[in-house]
Amino acid sequence: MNKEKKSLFGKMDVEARFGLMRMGVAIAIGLGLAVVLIVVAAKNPGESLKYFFAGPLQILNPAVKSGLAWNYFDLWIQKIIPLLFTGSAVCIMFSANKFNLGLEGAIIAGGLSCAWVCTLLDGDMLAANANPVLCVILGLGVSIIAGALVMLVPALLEKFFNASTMVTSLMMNYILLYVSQHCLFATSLRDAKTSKYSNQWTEDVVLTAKKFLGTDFTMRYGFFIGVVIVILAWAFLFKTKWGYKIRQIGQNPHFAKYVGVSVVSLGILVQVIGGAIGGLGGATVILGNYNYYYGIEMTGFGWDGVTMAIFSGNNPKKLFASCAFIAYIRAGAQIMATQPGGPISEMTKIVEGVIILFLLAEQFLARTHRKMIVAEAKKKQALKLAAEVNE
Amino acid sequence: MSVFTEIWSILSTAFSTTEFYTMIIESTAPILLAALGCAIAAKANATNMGMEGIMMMSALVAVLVSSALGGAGVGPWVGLIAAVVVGCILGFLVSVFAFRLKIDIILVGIAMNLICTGASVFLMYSITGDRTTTTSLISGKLPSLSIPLIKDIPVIGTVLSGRFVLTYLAFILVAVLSFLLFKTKLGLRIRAVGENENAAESVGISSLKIKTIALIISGAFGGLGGAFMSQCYLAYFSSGLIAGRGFIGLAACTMGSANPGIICLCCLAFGIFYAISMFSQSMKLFAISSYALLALPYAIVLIGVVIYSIYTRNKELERLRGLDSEEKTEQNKAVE
Repeated sequence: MNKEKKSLFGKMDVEARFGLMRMGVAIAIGLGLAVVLIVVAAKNPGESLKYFFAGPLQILNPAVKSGLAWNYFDLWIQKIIPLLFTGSAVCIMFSANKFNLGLEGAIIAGGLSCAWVCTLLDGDMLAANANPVLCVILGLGVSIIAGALVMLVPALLEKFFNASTMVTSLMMNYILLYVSQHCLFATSLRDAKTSKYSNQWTEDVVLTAKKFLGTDFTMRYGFFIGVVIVILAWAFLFKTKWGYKIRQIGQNPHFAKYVGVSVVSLGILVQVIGGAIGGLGGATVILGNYNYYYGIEMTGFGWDGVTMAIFSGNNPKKLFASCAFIAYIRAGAQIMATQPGGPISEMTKIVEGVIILFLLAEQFLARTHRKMIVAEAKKKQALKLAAEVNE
Repeated sequence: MSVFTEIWSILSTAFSTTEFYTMIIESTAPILLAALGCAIAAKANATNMGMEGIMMMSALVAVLVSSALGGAGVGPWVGLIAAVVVGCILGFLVSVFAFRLKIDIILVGIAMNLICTGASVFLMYSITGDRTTTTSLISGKLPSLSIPLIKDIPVIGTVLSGRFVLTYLAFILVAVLSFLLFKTKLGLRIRAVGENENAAESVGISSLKIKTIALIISGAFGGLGGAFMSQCYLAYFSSGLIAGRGFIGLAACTMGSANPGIICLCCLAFGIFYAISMFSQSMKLFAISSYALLALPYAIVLIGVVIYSIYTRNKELERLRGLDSEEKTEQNKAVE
């Protein structure tokens, strides 16, 4: 019976093959657009294209000074970290069809609360310096609680008053932004000398790039935390009873309710978990890059989470590849923009948006999809016929 | 105690200055335009999340076209028309992706915002070489309008007369949109499609066509809102110019149940609190943080949405109770 051709995609069913093909076409369209934009805007298109496509991997190029090449590589890692957190948070929320857009607020709350703990334990406020490890653990722990609390507000408002989560969570983002500004400028968190940042904490607490095994290679602890979070999110969604129920709500809420899944309380649970992951992400970004708090504008990471969830089809297992891809083009664009005459790095937003649209479009390539299904069915029929003849 | 005295001092100084009232009107107008745009889409059962991006893109185009024509005389007006055209095109694109290519309309909106944020900065940098503002271009402003009789009335005259043309247009459009939605054939069809698509289809209305028209008009409102920001509010475009006004419009639309009159009141309420928070920035405060006051208008919108939700839920419960009691009387009759 098994006389089918064993190609690379031989074992995949037609839907998976089509999904992969559509993703390939969407990414090709996006990257094609990127090339067009660079060629139009750059003063030296060849050089800019080289940095855009190969920038973060300059470590493979012996001609580039090793320190600089490692910096480029580190930029890639640095861009991946927030995506891992926000991607898994939105994957869990979208799996239950909860369009909560308050992740931005959770990230701000997480970063702010973590900074508060760090300055309290380590800064000028208490003279006795605390243990840096304890400081990091406490800071991250508080940020998880803060993020979860922020997301709990829209969730509870929906449960008790049936208020639109989308609108209330959007407003929460702005409220938290200004609360963050208030804490930064009008409370004891503010550094009296610079008046732009918060009080500083010692470098021991910081999770920034550290030298790895005595080489030029630097690595960030935040990356490992992010990887663990993605794995946990996947295990939660696909290996637990709760995760199964959550995915069932996403596929058919009426059926889920009919078979006795508590749709409302699980809806609140996913938002709280999403907020907790977002808060942790915000704290990791703050601890990973600075030894002070600087939160006077929206980070945009909350919207990135939506992008990543769409790219990975709400499956955290696919988050690694999608985060690596998006972070790669962002890092490439940023490296390209620092070169003289290079176009601005904001062009990646256009590319991301276009790829999202083509990834999601149900009707895009629909004719090819139908043809593939027909071809598959014909092949199966022919095989069946051949088997019958043999008998 | 000092908090209350400070609140009192803010309110008393604010409400006794004429600038405060003009501030209310000017800060209400762009949000009102955004909210009206969201309303016509919402009436056709489509959430136009892309309003933020549409406003951003059209604000930039208005500046670019106006400065290309010298920034004076007819320039700003052509810029305004260009902004509206860009708004229509983007609204049409949202409808194409949402209804023809069948993507969830909220996700289309998010993608649209992403693309417009990137594209506006990319275009601005390519043309002016500046990545934050277009102050190097001379784009000019749309003129203010002084109304003949009203401008002579002592206090009210200075508030109501001499505002920007688009400010008056925004408030006139409330009535126009009400008329369009509730008194014309197109409005009836939009509402029919929004209430029940299948029922509308069954009487021969093409829901695809109606929704597309609604989103194009929605885009046009977004274009006007964008042009207001870059041609009236300020005379240039900057990357943070729209600052969530599209989202607030969406919230105001939800709060006003997509009804133009109520939306206008909601936007005015937001405008009052926004003006209070802006006005208090220039005062010396001790007990209240001026940064926390900036969050006030957003908190008011949040509370407003909750109150509206409670109101609709109670109305629904009452309706159900009414049905219940009707059923009981019918049953009683049957028993008798």
